[in-house]
Amino acid sequence: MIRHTGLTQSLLLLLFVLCLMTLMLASLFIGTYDLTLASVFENEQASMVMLLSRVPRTLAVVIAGGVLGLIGGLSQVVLNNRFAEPTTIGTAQGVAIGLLGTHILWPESPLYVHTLVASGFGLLSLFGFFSIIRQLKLNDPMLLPLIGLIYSAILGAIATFIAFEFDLMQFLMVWLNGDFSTVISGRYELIWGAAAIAVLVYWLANQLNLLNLGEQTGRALGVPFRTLVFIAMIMIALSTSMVVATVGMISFLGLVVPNIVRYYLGDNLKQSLPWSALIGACLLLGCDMLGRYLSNPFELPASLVFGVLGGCFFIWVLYKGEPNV
Amino acid sequence: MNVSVFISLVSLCFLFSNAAQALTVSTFRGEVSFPQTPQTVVAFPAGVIDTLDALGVLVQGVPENLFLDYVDTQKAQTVGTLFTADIEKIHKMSPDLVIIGERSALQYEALTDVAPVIDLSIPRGNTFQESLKRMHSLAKLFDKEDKAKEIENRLYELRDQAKQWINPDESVMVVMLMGRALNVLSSQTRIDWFQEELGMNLEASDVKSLNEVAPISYEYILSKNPDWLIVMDRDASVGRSAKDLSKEYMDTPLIHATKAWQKNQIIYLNGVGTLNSVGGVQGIKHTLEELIKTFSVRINGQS
Amino acid sequence: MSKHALTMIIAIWIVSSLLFLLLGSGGDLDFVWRFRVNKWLALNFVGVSVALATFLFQTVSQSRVLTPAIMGLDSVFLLFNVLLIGILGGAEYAKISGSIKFFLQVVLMMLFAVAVFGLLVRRFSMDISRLLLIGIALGLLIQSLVEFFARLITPEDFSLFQGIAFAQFNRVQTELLGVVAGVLLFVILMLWRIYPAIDIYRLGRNSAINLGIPYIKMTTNLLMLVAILVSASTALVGPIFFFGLLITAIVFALFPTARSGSFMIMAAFIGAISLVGGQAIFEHVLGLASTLSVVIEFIGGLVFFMLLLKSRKSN
Repeated sequence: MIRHTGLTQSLLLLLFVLCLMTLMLASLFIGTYDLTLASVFENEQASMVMLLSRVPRTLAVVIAGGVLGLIGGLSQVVLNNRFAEPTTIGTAQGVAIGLLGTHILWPESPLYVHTLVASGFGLLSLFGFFSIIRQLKLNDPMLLPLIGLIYSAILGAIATFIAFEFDLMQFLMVWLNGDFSTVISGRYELIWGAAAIAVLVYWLANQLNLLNLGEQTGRALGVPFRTLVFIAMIMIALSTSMVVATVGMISFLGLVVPNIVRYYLGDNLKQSLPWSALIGACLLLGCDMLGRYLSNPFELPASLVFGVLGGCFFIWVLYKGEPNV
Repeated sequence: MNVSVFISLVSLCFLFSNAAQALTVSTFRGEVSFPQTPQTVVAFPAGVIDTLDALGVLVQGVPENLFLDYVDTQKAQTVGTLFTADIEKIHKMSPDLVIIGERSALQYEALTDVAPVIDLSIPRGNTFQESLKRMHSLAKLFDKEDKAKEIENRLYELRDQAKQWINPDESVMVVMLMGRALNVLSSQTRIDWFQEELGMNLEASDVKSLNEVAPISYEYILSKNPDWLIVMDRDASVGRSAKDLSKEYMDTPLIHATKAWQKNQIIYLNGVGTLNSVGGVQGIKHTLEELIKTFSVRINGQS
Repeated sequence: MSKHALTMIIAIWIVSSLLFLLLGSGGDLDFVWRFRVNKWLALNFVGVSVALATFLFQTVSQSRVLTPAIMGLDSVFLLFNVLLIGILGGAEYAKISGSIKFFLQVVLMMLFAVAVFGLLVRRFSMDISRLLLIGIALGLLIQSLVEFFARLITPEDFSLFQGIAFAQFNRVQTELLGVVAGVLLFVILMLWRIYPAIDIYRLGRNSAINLGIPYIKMTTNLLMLVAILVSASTALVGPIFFFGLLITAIVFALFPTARSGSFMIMAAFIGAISLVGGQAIFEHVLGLASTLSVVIEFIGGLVFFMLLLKSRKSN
């Protein structure tokens, strides 16, 4: 494991930021509709496509990738488990129940209400999770992720039950499958809420770092451990549900990006979170662009491209690295 | 045991008692003979239930959650779901015939042990003609051939009427809304007959064979800029969800800029007939009537 | 583990079996024999397979939160099926005989397991969590392909696929049941021979090696046993291994100090109870609505939380 010095690290960070900027610029000019720099200024329709479709889509991808990477890193610290990701505490399953519920019971409501209610359910499912763990003594560190998984399974079972009854399995799958093809202005704005929370997480990173101490040491040192966990989980649930309800889940990202970052940078959140966000955003944007390019004029969902390419890349990285003893 | 063997054994028995007038119908898995018109019938595919209803045949067993609002299945028993047939219940009903197909095709092997089963899945390619063929098979089996002839004539009449309104020079794009995703339906899907029978000039006939439902963006619709846009909501057509969201999804400046929107040539089609009741003659009839109505109104409204 | 607890669990197993076999049969034994006994056997075989596979997998991974579902075998199963449906069309796919599909699926899953895990264990025996991350990455890679193809197929074909993506005991074929029984018997015999070694293996890599356990060989063998169990059961009824997590969690909550041998016996019975009882509820209470795994995950999850709460009160 190499620890970079402060200077090379800042340079590297700058390089990645530039890389993201370049990708974002390129992303504005990839898509089914034929756009050139000149036509955007001359042609009214072209400028509309740019403003209503390309710009929102690019922003949505960057935010989703960044938020999922960052929140993934946070969840792994909160749940004290390398395999944890935001879906581990039932948020995505809660969103699914909310989506199905509004779709069945209140279909007349406008789309943004659907997404709002869905993310509300994501948050609600988190409160359910809390009321359960509050009842329990968690003397075994393995217990928290296990409870999270089983809790997710219960919520998932409810969602599947409803979806089966109403023949909405394909609906649910499509909605939860991370895909940016229908992101246009007016349909994605909720994701900015997730971006705001991500900024808040970074701002609180020094405090959240204390979670790395573990409950017993932390308490002995006077850290309000439970409160910190509570705040962290609310932020995880809120941002995840906002992303999932608007553009779907890219499950792989929150799991593996933070793991790779930690492999090089260690456990300090203040240091690792911006990297998780940056790398998550770059990778997801690259994948979405590739999806647009490869199957032009049709679409490939970003989650698919990410699953395949990201999967191959991570397998390679994990396989190549010398087995550490 | 192989069904056809079983059924021919049964028919062999009948041969002696009932001066041999076996009914032979062609199914998706080959020809099957029946000694006589089945009395108790269980049917799983929505399209078959639809057609039997049109022919005036009473079905005693149907799956739960059928979502066919125009067929009255109150009197029928529910016999499991499309995914899990209630084999014990079907055994107790001891039906003369169980029909499966398309969405329930996997139930075949499990059901052959309890009752004579036929697979009436509709093959790919010209769903309109295949549906008529299936109706005639059913009509023969249930001795309703006159009624079938009548329905067929009516459908051809409607088809010709619809065809009049369709200009083969104008392009038509069929979009299916699914979840929050837009998909274009190619001429390889169950709307194949829009092209073959109605003469529509469908966009995206070039979709590769596996990509039956191709995901698209709003930009795709704008850049192809079709003259006509037909939009169906998969979730409202197949499931029980109450509202068709296609109107809301199409109401955006990116669609407003298309020819179809500007000429008021967007059709929000109820997808039950094409997506749920695949091959049901009433479904086809409703689809045709809807197309005739909307096409004629749009075209007359202009001139 | 007390004798008393085992008796209780066997009693619950017998009661749930009787409920499953007799409920709503009107005492018609011919009927029970014809429609329910095979299904009951299948439920037991698969339940025991899930329990054993999960225990072994968690032993190798030294983690109580993982299930064999993470190895990606069920994703291989689903990919095979969704591709076949996409290429042939649903109705043509349904015409292929169940036994042919069964053997193709088993062969594919085993090939995958041997190729991937046989290769990886040698390299990463010292770093099991990295091995698992690679496994997860592979599984998710295949899973995303599955999801992609599943959204390309038409709604009618999707329904068919949906019927495959959730475990189903309605379509179990008698001939294949024998195959699965044979596989299970083989695994149980293997475990019978090595179960004392598993206790030593669970002490961790270094201690195990010091105590004379051939660590790499044993890891490979255990993973292969898991793969055999998962492949056979998944090919028979469909993906069901997630709920193994619940079984081991419940056994652990009940008997935190159990040794491998008794843990496996308990887990096997609880696995069988979950499936038999779950299927009884699915058929007789829910009237076949939704799927068996929904029932098991919902009820099993609640049972797990109840046990946790109870142990808190008694503390």
